[in-house]
Amino acid sequence: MNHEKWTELADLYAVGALDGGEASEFSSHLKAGCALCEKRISENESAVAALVQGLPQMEAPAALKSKIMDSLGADFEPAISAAPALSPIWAAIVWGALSLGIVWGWKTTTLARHTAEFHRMEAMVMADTTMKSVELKATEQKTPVAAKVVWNTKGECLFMTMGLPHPVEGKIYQLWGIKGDSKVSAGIFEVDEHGCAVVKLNQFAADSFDKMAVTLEPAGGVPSPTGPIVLVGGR
Amino acid sequence: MSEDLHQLLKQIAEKDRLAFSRFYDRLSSLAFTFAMRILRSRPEAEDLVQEVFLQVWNQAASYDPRRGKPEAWIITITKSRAIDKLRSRRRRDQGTPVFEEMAREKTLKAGQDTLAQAEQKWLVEGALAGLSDIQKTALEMAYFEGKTQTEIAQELSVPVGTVKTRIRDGLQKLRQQFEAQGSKS
Repeated sequence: MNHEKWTELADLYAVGALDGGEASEFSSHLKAGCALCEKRISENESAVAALVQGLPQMEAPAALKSKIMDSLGADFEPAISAAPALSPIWAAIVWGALSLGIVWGWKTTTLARHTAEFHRMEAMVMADTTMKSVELKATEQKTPVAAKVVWNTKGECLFMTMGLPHPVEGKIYQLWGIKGDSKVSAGIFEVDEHGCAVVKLNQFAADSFDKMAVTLEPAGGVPSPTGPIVLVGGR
Repeated sequence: MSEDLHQLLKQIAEKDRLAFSRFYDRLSSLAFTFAMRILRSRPEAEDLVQEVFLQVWNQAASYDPRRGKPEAWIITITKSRAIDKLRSRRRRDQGTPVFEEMAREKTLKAGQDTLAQAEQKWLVEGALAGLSDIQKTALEMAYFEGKTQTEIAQELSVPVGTVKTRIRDGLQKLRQQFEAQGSKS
């Protein structure tokens, strides 16, 4: 069979019209590997996809997103709200953190013992429509690290990270808010065996900073950063 | 801010939920619109969108940018799953043919559409204008209704070879339209 025949089948395959023996024949041809047909299918899919993009768009129901986010992790626990001074979402976060034995505040450390718990809190934070966030990236990509500072309009602010390696003895991580030359400490923190930490940042005006960074500092922390930057992110 | 969907997919492959959340915000309407067009059922479309995005979450690492844009990937996943559902229930919808309906959307709704959407609609109208009615019909029956070439031939009372020709000619015109537009941009 010359390739023109395969090209014809690739066109029909791209719109789902192939059937019978031709469908199985072309499927075998694709599995054997054919760059020409792959390219042809891709071109067809892109052309027809552009038509779909031109359809008058319909918004998916708002509740659907939460449903999907919740379904990403099968081991999530149901959200529990408490502490009426906080919005329900943030109260649930605080409750979740406290249930893990977390202590809040400057010069205190917080340990999220389960990554699932980390994800549960993260999902709840993302469900808060007033939430703003800055994602911090590792300066060295030896291990995948996830880190975010999130805050809402009430000034409640949280730092979450996952995948940070344990610092060497005598060292500790410290989070900073940076605006121009000004660097303000948000606190020191430790990570658990999963490299996780969830820290509530008291009196940390996240909105006023352009960048956030985590440095590795001497145990106990320092008033101004002296160590290497481990994580950094900006708005 | 317009984020790079490729970059978001890389982050999703590393199980970044915030990236997933942003990716969903960008493309959920596209998937939902397409699912509704094919299935014509809101509950089924919602279920389908959930399946599509869970597949994105689980298979983001397998996304190959050489196979097309993330939008095209989402559409392909949505279509594949929607057609599976459609074929399983074999329900024929009596709605207005989609291509004709789109072609009637001549007036852009100023203030309601983003520039990108407006441009896209303009492109669609241009592309549709290049297709004959029989080409539109054959493409629509295959792409939006999940019918095979044999089923289309039976329904239209024409030989299978004729259906193949109509689909291929329609596709060729679409490719030419969008390739021409791509070379201009």
